[in-house]
Amino acid sequence: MAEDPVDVVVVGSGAGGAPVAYALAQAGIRVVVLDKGRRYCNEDFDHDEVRMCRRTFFVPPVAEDPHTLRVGETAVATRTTAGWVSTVVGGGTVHMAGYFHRLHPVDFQLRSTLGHIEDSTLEDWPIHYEDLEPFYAAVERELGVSGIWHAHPFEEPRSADYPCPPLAEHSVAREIDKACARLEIHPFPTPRAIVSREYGGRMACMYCALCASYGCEIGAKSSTLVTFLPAAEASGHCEVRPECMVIEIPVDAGGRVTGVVYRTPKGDSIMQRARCVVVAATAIESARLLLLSRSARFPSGLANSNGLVGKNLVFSGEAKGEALFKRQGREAVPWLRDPSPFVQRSVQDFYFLDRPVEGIRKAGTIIFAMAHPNPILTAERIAGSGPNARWGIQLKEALREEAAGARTLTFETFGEFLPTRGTYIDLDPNVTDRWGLPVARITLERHKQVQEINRFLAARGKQVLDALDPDSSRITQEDGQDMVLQGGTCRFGRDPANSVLDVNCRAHSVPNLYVSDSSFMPTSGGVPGTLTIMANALRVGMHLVDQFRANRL
Amino acid sequence: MTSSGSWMPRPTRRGFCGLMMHLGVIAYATGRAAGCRPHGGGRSLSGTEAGAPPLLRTFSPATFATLSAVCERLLPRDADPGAIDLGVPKYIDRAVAEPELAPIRSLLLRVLPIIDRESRKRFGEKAFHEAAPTEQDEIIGLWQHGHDGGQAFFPVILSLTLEGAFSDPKYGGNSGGRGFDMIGFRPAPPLSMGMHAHAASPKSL
Repeated sequence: MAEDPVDVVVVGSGAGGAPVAYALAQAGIRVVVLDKGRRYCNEDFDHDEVRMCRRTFFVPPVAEDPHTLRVGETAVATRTTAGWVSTVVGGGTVHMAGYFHRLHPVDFQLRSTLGHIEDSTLEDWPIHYEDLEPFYAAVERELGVSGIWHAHPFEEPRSADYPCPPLAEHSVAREIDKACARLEIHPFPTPRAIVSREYGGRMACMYCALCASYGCEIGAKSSTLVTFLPAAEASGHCEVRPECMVIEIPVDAGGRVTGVVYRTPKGDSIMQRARCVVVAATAIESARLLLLSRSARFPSGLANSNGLVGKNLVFSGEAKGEALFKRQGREAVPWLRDPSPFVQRSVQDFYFLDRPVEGIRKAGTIIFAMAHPNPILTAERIAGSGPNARWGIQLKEALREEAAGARTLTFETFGEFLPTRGTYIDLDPNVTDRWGLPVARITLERHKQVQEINRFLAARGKQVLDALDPDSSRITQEDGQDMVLQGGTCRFGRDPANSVLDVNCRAHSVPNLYVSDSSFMPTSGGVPGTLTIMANALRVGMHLVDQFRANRL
Repeated sequence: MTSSGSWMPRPTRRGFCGLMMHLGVIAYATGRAAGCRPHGGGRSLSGTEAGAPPLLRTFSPATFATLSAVCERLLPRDADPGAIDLGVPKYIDRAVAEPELAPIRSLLLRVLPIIDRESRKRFGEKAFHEAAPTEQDEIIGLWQHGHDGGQAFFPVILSLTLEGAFSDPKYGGNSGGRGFDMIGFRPAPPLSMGMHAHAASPKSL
């Protein structure tokens, strides 16, 4: 079967796909957006922890649709849910916490700044911060990002203020400010993709208790479901088709892509012809789709003549810590009674250091938050895991003391994850998904500096928590990586020999194929990447508009 | 580079995936075929049978007794309600009847009878649910430390018990919301928080 041809087909409707569809549709270019996930509306979201966070609402079942993961090439890859972002229309923007920091100028030239780092495939970006700045500002405007300008000495250059004031903050934020002042650290209100006032016809945040990991039932969280997608559809030039799994991107004899082949929920295979294909299915899944699309011209996968598709995978380096503040004996401390959900404090004093400290110059961001209030997750956190997990009367007492009788303040770090040759995705030779296709196999071999960066940031986060005089504090994850925050499998660059995409995120070797999600990123940066993905996708979308207007596509 | 450590991936970003993260381990350990679809199971597992609603959807009465006793030791009654008071075993019986938890259902159906047999062997033919609390704890402790090569059972049963105690009461556990009371969780949104909105810029800035 075949659908009527369109100008552009976009694979994926999240942060990397929706802004492209929006730019094109606004310009009158006909777009079809395909997403394998279901489409939900605000009314579908609730605060049922089991349904939203603990089953398969956002992440597909591991028996049907897994990734596999191995640590080092000699290990056996095992099935995992790791590396999925969110398999619904809107992708990860639906359940995100919405931490919307920009990258800093140094992130675009890290290789030139730090020099060669042994065992890392670190490269500069082929664009500068100034090239992306207008698109950062445009995305912030479209989404109504909340924040405050000139808030700290390490702020990146900005051309415009935030369109919404910062979200209301928990009263512990003032305590953090006081403690940080003593430590000569400069906390600032976390910019968020959540509207703090009525914005573009959307309701302001109502400060309900559960936010991150949930869809927003009033649409105050600026997912693409309530921003770019409806705006694109309103133009009359964009159609979003949910539950359509793209399985192949065919090419013609001239080496141009002709559209995509997708499966409907009924199992029909449909060819959607298009003049141009934009892939935005997450770094892991976009690379997988290219690798699955083999042809006589591209026997090792589409746009993979140099073997770099899937390589240079990066995540966000992650450490976590928490501090417990018991109410008993602190009856006079008002913040312990404040139910406000957002602490709203970030620290970027250690983003980039003029001189190395403990051997580190580029670290990242520390974000403070109350422990996630999910009740089951809270109980699991207090119980712990492994041989030291608490259960029985000991667990009951701990639950009363640490959940009902205390508040837990946490931090999470977003650190540079240096790219290596040993961290990549390819097609698993043994495991297939429910469509019978080889799944993405993630191979992880981290650079030794990632651990040093995580520990460095974690120690600074804990220092702040300790300055608040808690009953106890601990680093709960000294060294890890956030596999939702992924990038880098189709690097962009100027040299076709060592990158997959050109400066506009077009495949070097396929003139009408683009990849517009985080796959393009040569480095992880030291912030959650969602805003950067959106800004770049909007940049790619505007470039495509120019190409169509010049009749080059 | 080491092959283990605290940086091993843990797919729980901001509370994500929950119980499902165990499924990868289980699916691999039991060698499930690629592309296996739990929907294809032979018997209907959700919904009630004709006539009077059945008391149990997954477990035989004997296995359910073992399950209840295990849950009660993980979350025993004291001044606050215990697992049985909160309806945890009932919750689990229903939860694992859902197709997406098929691997967890198999795991429980396999391990719970082993636990019962272990009790009869060690404690003079006493069923697990008849054994003394200290005896029951001894056996649970074995599983916590990887008894029978099973690394998955203990974290799964602990997670399911906590789900039963602290999930939305509509699922049959957390009876009367008393689990929420125990941990001080208030499900209603604090709408009054709006009044704090952008009250002032932070002083330190």
